[in-house]
Amino acid sequence: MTKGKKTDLERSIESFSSLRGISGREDDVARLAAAEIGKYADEIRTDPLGSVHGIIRCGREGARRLLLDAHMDEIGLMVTSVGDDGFLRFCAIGGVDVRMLPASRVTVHGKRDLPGMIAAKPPHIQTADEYKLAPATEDMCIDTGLSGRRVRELVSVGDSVSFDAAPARLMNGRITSKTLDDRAGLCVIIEAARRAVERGAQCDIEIMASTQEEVGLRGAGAGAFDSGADAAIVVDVTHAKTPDCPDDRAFELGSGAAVGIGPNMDRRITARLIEIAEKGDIPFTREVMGGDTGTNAWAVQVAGLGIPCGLVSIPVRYMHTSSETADMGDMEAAAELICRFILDFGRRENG
Amino acid sequence: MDRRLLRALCSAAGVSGDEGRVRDYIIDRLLPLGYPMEVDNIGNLTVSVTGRRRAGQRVMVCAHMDEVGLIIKSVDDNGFLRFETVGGIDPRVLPSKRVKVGDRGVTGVIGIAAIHLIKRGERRKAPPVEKLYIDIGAKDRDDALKAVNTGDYAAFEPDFSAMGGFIRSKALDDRVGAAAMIELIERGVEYDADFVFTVQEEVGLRGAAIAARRIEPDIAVVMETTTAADFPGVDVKSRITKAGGGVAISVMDRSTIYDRELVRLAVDTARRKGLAFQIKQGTAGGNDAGAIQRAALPVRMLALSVPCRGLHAPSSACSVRDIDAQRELCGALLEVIGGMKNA
Amino acid sequence: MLELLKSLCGAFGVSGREDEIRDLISDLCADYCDEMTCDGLGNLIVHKKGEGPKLMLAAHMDQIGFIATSTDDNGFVRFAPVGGLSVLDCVHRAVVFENGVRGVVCSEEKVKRAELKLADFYIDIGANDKRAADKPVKIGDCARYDEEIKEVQGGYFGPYMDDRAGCAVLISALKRIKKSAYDLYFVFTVQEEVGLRGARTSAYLIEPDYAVAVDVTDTGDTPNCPDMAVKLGKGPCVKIKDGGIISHREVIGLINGAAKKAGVKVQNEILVSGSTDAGAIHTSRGGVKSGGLSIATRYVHSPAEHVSAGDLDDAVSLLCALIEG
Repeated sequence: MTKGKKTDLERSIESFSSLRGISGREDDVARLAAAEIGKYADEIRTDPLGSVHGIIRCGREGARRLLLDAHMDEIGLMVTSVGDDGFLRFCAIGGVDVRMLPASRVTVHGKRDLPGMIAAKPPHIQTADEYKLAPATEDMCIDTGLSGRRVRELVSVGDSVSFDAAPARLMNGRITSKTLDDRAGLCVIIEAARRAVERGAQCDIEIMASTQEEVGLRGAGAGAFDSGADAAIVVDVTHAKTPDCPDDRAFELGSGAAVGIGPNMDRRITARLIEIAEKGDIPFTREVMGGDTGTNAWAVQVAGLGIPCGLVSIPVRYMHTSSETADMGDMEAAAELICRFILDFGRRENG
Repeated sequence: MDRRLLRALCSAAGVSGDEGRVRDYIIDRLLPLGYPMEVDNIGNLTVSVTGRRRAGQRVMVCAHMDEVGLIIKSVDDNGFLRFETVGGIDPRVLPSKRVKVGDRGVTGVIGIAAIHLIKRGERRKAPPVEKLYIDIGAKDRDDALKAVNTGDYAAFEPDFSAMGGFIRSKALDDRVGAAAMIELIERGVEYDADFVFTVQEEVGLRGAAIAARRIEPDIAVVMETTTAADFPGVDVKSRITKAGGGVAISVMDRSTIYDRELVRLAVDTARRKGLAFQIKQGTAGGNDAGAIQRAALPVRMLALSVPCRGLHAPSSACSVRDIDAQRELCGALLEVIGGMKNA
Repeated sequence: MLELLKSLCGAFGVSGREDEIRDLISDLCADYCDEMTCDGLGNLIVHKKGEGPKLMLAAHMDQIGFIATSTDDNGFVRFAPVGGLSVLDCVHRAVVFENGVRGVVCSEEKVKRAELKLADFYIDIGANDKRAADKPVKIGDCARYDEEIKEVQGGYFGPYMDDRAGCAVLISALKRIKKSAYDLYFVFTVQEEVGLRGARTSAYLIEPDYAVAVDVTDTGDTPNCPDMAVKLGKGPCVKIKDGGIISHREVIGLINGAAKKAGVKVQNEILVSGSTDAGAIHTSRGGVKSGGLSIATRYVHSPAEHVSAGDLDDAVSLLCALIEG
């Protein structure tokens, strides 16, 4: 296990990752994000879909504006029916990896928070074929240990359910937690902007903590519509290597920030990010994606009149499970890279 | 129910073959009472409790200390730990769960490749144990070996909590039984009895046979947990037991036909004392009673089990009502069975 | 309500061909609004001016149907689906084209029932050969299910409760309201069934502050059906989530508040797959706070959609309470 003091970034990740905020119900995260961004922003507002926008003005006449985006929402579950037997049926919100569900500990956010456990049909009931597959969502339910009557009083259809997986340290500065996708990105942009402001950024910055990315990039598309930003940097997670994944689609933990290259990203922005990383000895890798990057950049690039994008991603193992695992060093690299990009953006006139 | 006792027992790591921490806790706890305590050649802990009266029958009460878990088979070049299961675990409950590895309790997560990286048609396939691994954040093999070793045991991460009218935790099988025995020992008994905390039940009921051969009991009461398959859509006849329906009394299972008189006594006693009970349905499964029978000893057996949802999983749940009923029924029975006439 | 439903469900309006239904609805609404406009796609926008935020109420007037793609030498008409037609619901159904030509949908007899696809179907209009078929039916002509609305215990069934029932609710509310806390836009959208297209353009135009889509939803109360909490006759549904939207909490609150005011019991709805106009409206421009008020309906997209009379009446009362604030 990693020993030693926690950095501000690690502490920030712990606070943000512990909050619950499934898509469409990000209020708790939005509150903390507004508070943290509010520490150095000139203006904070929330848009109709719940995304938090923080504007930091540099004070220069005609300064360019850079939009930073990371999504606040996490994958989770939603109660679809409350049985007379007290068991809850559910559906997934976002692309939950269903293989992790059996025997998972969860919290049901009803009239109050209730501890629960995901139960599946016991092995002795199943056929040989069923046994080879992960149980389907329809064959699982949530057990709260309460009677049917009591559950009906406390839980309604539509209540959200989050996974119990508080952040924990592994060896070598690695951490495991639910929701590093994308609280890691959110903490990185908040930290990057804070550092840039401290070092005298010469451009306006708009931080957008967006909602509902996991269910279709909904918050970012609407949030960026009226932005008028000259460029955007989106921060999300990408895959980190494990023994069983195809080599060319994942990055080593500790290899730094992954810079996205492809039609979704503006070539000049991508080139600048790489140049800055190389010059500053910031660990980074190149992540090539020929089309839809599966991130908010896909929506931001064509929002309103369009915003040129760059994409910086943090390698994460076991994405979309409650044990997402990442390297603090990679997050530090991403924060520093974006901070220097902001400073560089403010110094240049165009491109 | 002594919640703190159960929490302490459940939180200790004691996978079959590595029960030392649980055994040490029990020894420390019971030492002040002054009863003779002995650890035998396989690791069972026997506490010989003197009753207020001399017994006509040799009575043995047992519960197993071990829990299902994992054992590290190898460390790959990238520092990931490959493992085998110890005890019967459905591999589908493993992905994404946290474990504590080795004596130092190093934190790890059980991993599989992210679902996005798997071909669409393969995504719902349940990965077999050989495809899973434990990630402790090591950089490579040498780095991992600084923290853990091949042969280390990995137990599920403890997370004991109340859940509605239930307790949710790892290892309720069978720390529930062990906790009941400790409470009864501390209360004191009417007739002498040997309380045996057995080892290696989960890998084939191995400890109990040795304890029984040493003690040669006339009567044995097994304090266990059993499956509660009271899941929506499961036929009533396949439920085995109903969680919250009271302590389950077994009539017959795969290895044992339980003593008729003892079963009748248990039912009558439960009724008399107003304790919730049920008869375990079906004849599947086995417990330490099977080991005792196989050891060729003519012991009259009784099994009292607490229904458990999610048996053999990183998180399981037992109803507080059932836990209390098991302990109280056993206590009530111990007041009389020592003085029973021969069959 | 029955008469209103009968005339609405009987009017032609397969997606992209909504003229007849639009004329009918505009006649029904004309006396109750300040202005009526149409946008480029054919959405009917009925504006009742008021102080207060802009509230857009949407119900789609288009319906699923059949579009003729070719006629063969023997006079049989091949078609493609417009919207979500299901194989099982088409077999031997009576249909009628926009110009009144009647026909019946049949499947090729040699294809095994279990293996049928829509491409194995055709419409028999009674024509003897290609020339006889080409006169009444041109490629691109659309047909709808030709069944009448019938009454049963506690409700009605027939084709196109989706979403003429929603239109009926909107029209009834428009006629009943005495005052309004909002600047109201009753929008009868087009082309919902083929991709929420009308909702997208009308929302972009109107720029509402709030939106509520009134559409049908599934139920979970028929024999051996997938688990779903909604039951017929247990009240209008407050949409929490469907395939296209997670409803805004404020709008859910407004709907629940209106239900309380009107003394109407409601049920929470989650539709795991399937979207409604709300899905397109809420991501319009910079985002719109949106939700849905749904009518529980059995057998959605079949010619026998079944709704509860009580649910419809309660939906109207609720909507009025919502509008009046």
